[in-house]
Amino acid sequence: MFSETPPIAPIAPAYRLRILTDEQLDRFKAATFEILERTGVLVPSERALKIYAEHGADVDFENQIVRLSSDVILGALAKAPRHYTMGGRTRAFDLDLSKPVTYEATDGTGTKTIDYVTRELRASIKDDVAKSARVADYLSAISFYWPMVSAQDHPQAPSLHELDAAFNNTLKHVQTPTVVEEATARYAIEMARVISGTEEAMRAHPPLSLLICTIAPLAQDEGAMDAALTAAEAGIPVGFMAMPNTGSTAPATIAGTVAVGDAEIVSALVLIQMAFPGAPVYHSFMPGMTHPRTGAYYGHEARVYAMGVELAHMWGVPTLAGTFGGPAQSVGWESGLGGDLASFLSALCGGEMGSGMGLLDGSTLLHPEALVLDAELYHSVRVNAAELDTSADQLALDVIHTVGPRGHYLRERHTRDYFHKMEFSEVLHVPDVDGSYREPVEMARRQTDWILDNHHPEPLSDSQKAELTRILEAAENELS
Amino acid sequence: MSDADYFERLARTVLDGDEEEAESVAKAAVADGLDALECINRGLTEGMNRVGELFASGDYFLPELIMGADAMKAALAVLEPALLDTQQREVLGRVVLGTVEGDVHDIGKTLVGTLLTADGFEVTDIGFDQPASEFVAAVKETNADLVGASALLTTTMRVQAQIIEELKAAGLRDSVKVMVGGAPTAQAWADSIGADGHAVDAIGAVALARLLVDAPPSPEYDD
Ligand code: B12
Repeated sequence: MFSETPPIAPIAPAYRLRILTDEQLDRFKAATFEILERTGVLVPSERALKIYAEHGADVDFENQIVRLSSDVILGALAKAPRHYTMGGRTRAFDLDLSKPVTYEATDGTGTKTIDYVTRELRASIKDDVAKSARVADYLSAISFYWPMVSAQDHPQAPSLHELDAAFNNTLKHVQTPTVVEEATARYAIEMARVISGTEEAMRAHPPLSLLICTIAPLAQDEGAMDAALTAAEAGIPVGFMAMPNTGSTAPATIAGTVAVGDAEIVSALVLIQMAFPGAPVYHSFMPGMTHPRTGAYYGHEARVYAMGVELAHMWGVPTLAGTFGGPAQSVGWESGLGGDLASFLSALCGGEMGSGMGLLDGSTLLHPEALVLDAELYHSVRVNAAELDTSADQLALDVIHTVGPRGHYLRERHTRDYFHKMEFSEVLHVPDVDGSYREPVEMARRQTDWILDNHHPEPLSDSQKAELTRILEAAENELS
Repeated sequence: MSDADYFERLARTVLDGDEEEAESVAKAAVADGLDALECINRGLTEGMNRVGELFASGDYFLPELIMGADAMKAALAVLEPALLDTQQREVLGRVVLGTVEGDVHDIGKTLVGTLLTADGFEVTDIGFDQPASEFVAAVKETNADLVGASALLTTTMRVQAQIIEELKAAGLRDSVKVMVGGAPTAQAWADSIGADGHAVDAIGAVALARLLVDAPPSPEYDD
């Protein structure tokens, strides 16, 4: 017996916002052109260097530096699709990026877990991925799933075990930030094919996407770029995330940080389009701030992440915005800061995707209640962005005339019906027996426990499970 | 110019983080026949101590620390060759520092190196994505007292264990102490691989390094 996965509830903004003016966007575009033409990027992959050289880039093979003219950049990016579909296990969970909505995901990939049952702090394991995937599968706030922590109990092929746990425990699209070598990418694609059934189905509705980080400042990673090329060839969407750190791996200004990060991302997007024109790609600008005294990493103000949305659209590709996630060590006032604002701004700027729900401590710690609490913030964003219904029935003039001055609406049929149509939180404003409200963190814990006890999404078929296991074994043999 | 003026000017170049000026003042001092060791101890080290104090009090930020250390290095390149055979610059210890193979996260490692340098250690930073063998080679080359290995990925932590194994194989394990760090590592991990210590941040790394070379705790971070 399994339980139904509730439908996803993406943010559908009824109104829009621009953060950067056209002139500012033009300046950023010109900055990226200048950086890539003059200084270039370091690309330590022979395979990538050859592709760049064959498609008009100026390649210094000895120093592994690639320089790109604006014509070459624009020519390559013109081939990138503006929209595509990322598949779920069933069509109900597909993410159609051409829709005017924002889909959001969990955070990943942390390294520590506070155990769901014992509440002990320990290194993360595969079962944490399985459990968090099940919680994410239940929550309508989560449209797609990032393996939230590392499967450290499977050191031979941790990232593939993370995918195995994810595919087995959620019907939603899976995006991985830890498949960063060519060989691992091959196995990950095989796993995606098992989920889809056929090669054609996988290309039409890829159930997996990759997220590859560029290396600030102005470099790419050898293994990761090879993984990206392999995935793109198979039709698996690939995104490039720049994480320049303001003050350490980027200038100590927001504009300078944007310039470095955008140039990195564009250089990688161009490579993929040169190699596989039309391959689905996305742009992701996720900078950090360097603490000037400790060097520690923390997040920027919310609008910086929404600016990434506008950069992506300037280049004609979808975006993954950084929405939730922060340095808080535990759930409380600090852990609730900023995620809703970044989410809201990104959605209003038209972001297709966002990620970052459910981890603490700089995206390193899985905390049992954090995902439900972030989902709560997400829903407040969703409601605030949504269209307001001003139809006649909602305006309720009939009942206003009926009740007239003074009196009350509590005995009206209209009130009774509409109370039941309203969304009420299971975390906030939950009354206690004494009339006070219950602790939201306590309610989040109950909801999490309830999901883990009661929600068991539709399993994969026995043959799919066996196939995944066979792939894991083959991978472990090759990779260990 | 008096000797004291030279010392003050050298200290100033470190406080200002002015590499070019540090080199040219050092050259002038040598040409004027000043004692190179005194220039180091009463000029550069004094300057670095003052940078350290300003950093600890929150008046200076990381760039001042790094640029101060760079200025000091530029002057040392002039002054060290001018030391008499009987003289040697005092350092708290020699450290080989790097981020392990497969891992490009180098901000934390660079920060640890900066604070160690500012505190009086001689740091050889071998960079990122470095295999165990490079750590061992650098230990041999620099006659290091300490090895610092940084790993930010759960998949690269094991290289820290490999470094310890290779130091053993090279017969060097007894002559160097090994410290490990980086977000996914912890004291328990350090213990399990037989490392000598672990620290969660750069200030902790300085305290640990001092402990491992039997130096007294650093006066600046001592609260
Ligand atoms: C910035 C960052 C990057 C930057 C690094 C840029 C650079 N030049 O360093 C970029 C974008 C390149 C990057 C790439 C990747 N990253 Co990264 N990255 C981070 C991030 C957000 C911050 C790291 C940082 O700079 N912190 C600031 C410094 C000052 O702190 P620190 O490094 O911890 O160092 C301090 C202490 O640890 C200690 N210390 C450090 N070293 C040492 C050594 C000794 C001897 C001692 C005593 C102490 C010590 O002192 C330091 C100073 O206080 C972390 C998350 C996090 N919060 O840690 C993820 C994180 C480490 N990255 C992660 C991942 C997955 C990746 C990628 C695989 C992503 C991808 N899909 O491509 C790639 C891998 C690239 C590679 N081959 O290494 C994961 C790791 C998960 C795991 N299972 O291990 C993390 C945890 C993020 C996440 N939740 O997913 N990343």
